[in-house]
Amino acid sequence: MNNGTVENTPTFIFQIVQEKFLPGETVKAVLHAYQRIGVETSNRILALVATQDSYAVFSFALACDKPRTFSDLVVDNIFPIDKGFRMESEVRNTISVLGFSLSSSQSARKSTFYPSHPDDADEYTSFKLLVDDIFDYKVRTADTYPQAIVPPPFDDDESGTGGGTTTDESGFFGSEKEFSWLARYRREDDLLAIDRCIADGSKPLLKGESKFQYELKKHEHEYIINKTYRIYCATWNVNGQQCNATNLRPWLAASEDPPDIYAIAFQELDLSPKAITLSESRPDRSVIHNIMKSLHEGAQYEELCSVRLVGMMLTIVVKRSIRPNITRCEKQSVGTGALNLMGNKGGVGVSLTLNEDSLCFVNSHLAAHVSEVQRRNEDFNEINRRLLFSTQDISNHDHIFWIGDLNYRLNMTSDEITDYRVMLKFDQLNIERAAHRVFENYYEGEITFQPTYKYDPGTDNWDSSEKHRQPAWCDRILWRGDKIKQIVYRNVMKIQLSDHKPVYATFLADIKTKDEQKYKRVHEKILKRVDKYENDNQPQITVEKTDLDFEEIKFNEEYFRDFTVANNCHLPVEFSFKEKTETDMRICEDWISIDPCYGTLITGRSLSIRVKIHIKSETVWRVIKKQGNHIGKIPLDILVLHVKNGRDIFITVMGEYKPSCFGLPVETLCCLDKPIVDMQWSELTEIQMKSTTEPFKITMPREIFLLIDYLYRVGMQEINLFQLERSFKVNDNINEIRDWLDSCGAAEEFPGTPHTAAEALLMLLESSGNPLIHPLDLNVLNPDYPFELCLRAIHKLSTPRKNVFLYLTMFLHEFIEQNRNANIEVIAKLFGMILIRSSHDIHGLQRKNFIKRFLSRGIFNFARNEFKYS
Amino acid sequence: MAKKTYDLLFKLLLIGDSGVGKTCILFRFSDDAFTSTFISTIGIDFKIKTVELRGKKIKLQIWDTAGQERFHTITTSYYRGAMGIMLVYDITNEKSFENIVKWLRNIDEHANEDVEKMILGNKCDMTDKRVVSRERGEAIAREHGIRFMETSAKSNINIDRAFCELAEAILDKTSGKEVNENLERVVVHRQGQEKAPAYSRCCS
Ligand SMILES: Nc1nc2c(ncn2[C@@H]2O[C@H](COP(=O)(O)OP(=O)(O)OP(=O)(O)O)[C@@H](O)[C@H]2O)c(=O)[nH]1
Ligand SMILES: [Mg+2]
Repeated sequence: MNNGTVENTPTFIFQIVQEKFLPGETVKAVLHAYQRIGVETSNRILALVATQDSYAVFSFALACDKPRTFSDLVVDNIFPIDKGFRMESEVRNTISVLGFSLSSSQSARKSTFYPSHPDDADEYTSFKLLVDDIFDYKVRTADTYPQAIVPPPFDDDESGTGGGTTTDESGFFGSEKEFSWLARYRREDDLLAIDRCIADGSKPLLKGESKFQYELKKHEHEYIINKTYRIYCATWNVNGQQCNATNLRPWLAASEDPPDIYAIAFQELDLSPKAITLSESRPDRSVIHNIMKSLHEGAQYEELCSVRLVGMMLTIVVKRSIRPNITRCEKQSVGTGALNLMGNKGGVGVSLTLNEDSLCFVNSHLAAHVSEVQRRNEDFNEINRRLLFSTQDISNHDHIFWIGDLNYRLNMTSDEITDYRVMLKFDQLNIERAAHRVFENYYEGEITFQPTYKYDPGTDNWDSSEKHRQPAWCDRILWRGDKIKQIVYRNVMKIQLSDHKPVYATFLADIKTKDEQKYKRVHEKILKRVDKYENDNQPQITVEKTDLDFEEIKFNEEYFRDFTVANNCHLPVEFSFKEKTETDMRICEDWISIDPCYGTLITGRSLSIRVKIHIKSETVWRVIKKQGNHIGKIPLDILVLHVKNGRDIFITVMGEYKPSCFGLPVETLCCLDKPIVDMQWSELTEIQMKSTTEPFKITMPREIFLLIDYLYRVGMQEINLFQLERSFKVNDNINEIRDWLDSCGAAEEFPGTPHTAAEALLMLLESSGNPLIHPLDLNVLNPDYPFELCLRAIHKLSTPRKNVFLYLTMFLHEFIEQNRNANIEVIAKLFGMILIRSSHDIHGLQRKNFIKRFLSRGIFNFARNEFKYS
Repeated sequence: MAKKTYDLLFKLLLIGDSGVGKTCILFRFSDDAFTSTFISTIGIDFKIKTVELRGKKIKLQIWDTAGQERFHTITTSYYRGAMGIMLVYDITNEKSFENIVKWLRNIDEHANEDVEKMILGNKCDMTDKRVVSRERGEAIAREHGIRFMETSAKSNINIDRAFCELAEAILDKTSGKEVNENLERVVVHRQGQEKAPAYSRCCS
């Protein structure tokens, strides 16, 4: 059981409970308890609430373990203190309370609670005392001032159940009007009640399965009906006599109608020391055989089970036709003889489930002798404490029948009195029960038969031995449960085998039974509700927009769009951008970034997410591929915004990538006949296709020529012009150069500096999908490969590539020659990385050395003019 | 001792062109409601619905996908793990019917090999606007050996039945031991959709 109830101070809890109510509705007392729902437990806070003229006990379910505000308390049940109100304790012993039940005329069912702190009796006791006082007070005042009588709205299923509550309407207090204030707190359907603790994540949502069980239990009253069963209890102390030949019919077949269940108890079947020391536990088959022959003849019976301990045996026999309704049967025995161990005294019990109710039968043989009253009481407690079934003890059963030789005698010394009604006043069991010392909450029918002990065997005469024992009602049958009605309670004088007379009692018991048709309906209804509950409790996120329009996008420019996501549902939401496919583990294209790309939002919160686009040299060719020949905006990417345990939302990144020389193959650049800014992607892709077949318009891209030409003119003495460490990335200056190049701005002044020109050149070279030296003959990287052949390999490249390469290396050679600060190692390494971007794992050193071979030789006999842009 | 509420969980998927009525079909099945305003699904949605088949409680988790063209590559990544796929077209929209072949190809490429499929010709209430005859729908289903039904989310025609039939087909497949007994029925199902009686007891 979960004992971790509320650890807040009592006054604090008192306060928040009070906050649940209106002025004039005062919380008088609070009690922490829990309920068992199926196999789980659920914490409750009970509150006694008073208005001017009525009282009620509220049961609150807790939204979280430690309620912090009144909204953490959800009304689960209300018990108006009306005439039908009952608060009944199940006491294990005088100190600790096992459990208690609440019921009232207006609550169809009795609810069982267990104090959360059973060891702290104070909270419970004071609560109970207060409730009892109020009830008594109300009963008294109702008697004095009868009020307008409105019959309580009894539930159909509940009416006519025997035992417990009466439906007597005279002097009834608690009219509907008086309790009208409760209506405000009665909620038909708290299923979807917004639960703050679920919303802020501190409590998990009930999963379908437990929700279903919970609901099924909650709606039990809609499909459970009571079905009456006949129960026949019998007990006989045989005083060690063989009874397998005795005619038991006067004892076991005495009822008019055939019983549904027999519970037949024997004591002192075997008094031998051997049986005692060996704790004989094998049922006596010959006795059982005799039992089976002696049952009511109006039905077919079968033995359900028998349990034995030494002389005690309990046999449960059931009508064959109800056997399938018994879904569980367990037996147990406890010895309370010498050392509380020996089985000559003690109890044996059978626990079973019949339809929806649990039944317990106990056969006990308690301590003997007139003076041992205390000991008998202790035996009773001991059996209660130790006779445990797999999931419950005796007291947890819906119906309990306690039968046996309880051995209580008469507190009477003279045997003058022979009137049984007078003698009964001296009966120890009656005295002890009246003093609440034993069999608390048990009932016993009126005794109208003469004492069952002690007779001279074979006669109806009182004990004539010299002990001359006082007659007594040793053999008794008691029960516990509100739905049990006794029909007869008798002894059988005719059976004279033993010094005890057998006793039997017959009962009608209302057993909770599933009405299959109603159950099916409720079951279906609940399935639907649970489905709805699950569907309605899907975490959801609201996005401001699902299209992010970036409009025109240029190379090497940063753009961003913000959008808000909000949690408007009543659950915490965990979101993240999800990988698109199992193979593509990225959440977005390389040139897009999302911040943040995951997070948690509690109810009512929102968050701004920034999506950024920055198309750089490494990724631009992919954007170009995506843009294809589309004119205008296209969906550049689709982001998947995933909500944990919920739905996914697609966010489309829209935009149009504007053509620029960056990222285009050199072949394409050599086929252009107008500035790129004036071109459409459709034209560009067409040119790109043709560039493999048609002659080039120019020998090398004018963009590269312009940059190198500028550097040649003004940058030859520049320090640190080409460095491995590149500081220009996003730089307006470079983007100005981009626009200057794209708009064919040769006529205008170059907008940059030698440094930005150098960076632009590097970016231009590295932004194409393929590196300049492509395709690559891997041989050329071998340092021993003749330079002649390397040169030939270069000549095998497409004309634009060859020209760019030769022109570039020639310029770099020149630069190194003229610039005292230039470092050939650095420059060769830098260009090696950019110009040879093979997917093969080529060592950087090889690439550097290859370039270096070109930079170090002054072998270029051809004049610069050879490549002049025309 | 508490009985398990759900015996099985089946994951189903709804696919098809935008506007054919996938979301409406799901909404009808889960909430028994219909709206005529069209809000195109931008993402993936799912709903739970528990049905009872052959005494077993089966929890269906039904995923509704976005039908718009631009989401196609993304939605295919949701096919994996689906145990049943409803492929929906609109009987008033020729294009959506023609695309069935394309959707089937998508299923072949991306879904589990043993996924149960079913073709639904939706909006069968709109008889005056019909452009795809029932026969054509049956023909394409037969050609591919797939179940077929005409449905209407608006008039609640065959919606429950379609889901239960698909679930039952999955059940046949999953409950391997009972296969012998059910094998015959599975084959019968493949003939077309005129064998209603076998399903009369589900999802009433
Ligand atoms: N007459 C009629 N209209 C329907 C039916 N089912 C859906 N519609 C209408 O068709 C339109 C589209 O329905 P949706 O269910 O939103 O379409 P969808 O397939 O989910 O579309 P996407 O989410 O874009 O993939 C809506 O206007 C619906 O009202 C039907 O059975 N009969
Ligand atoms: Mg949709």
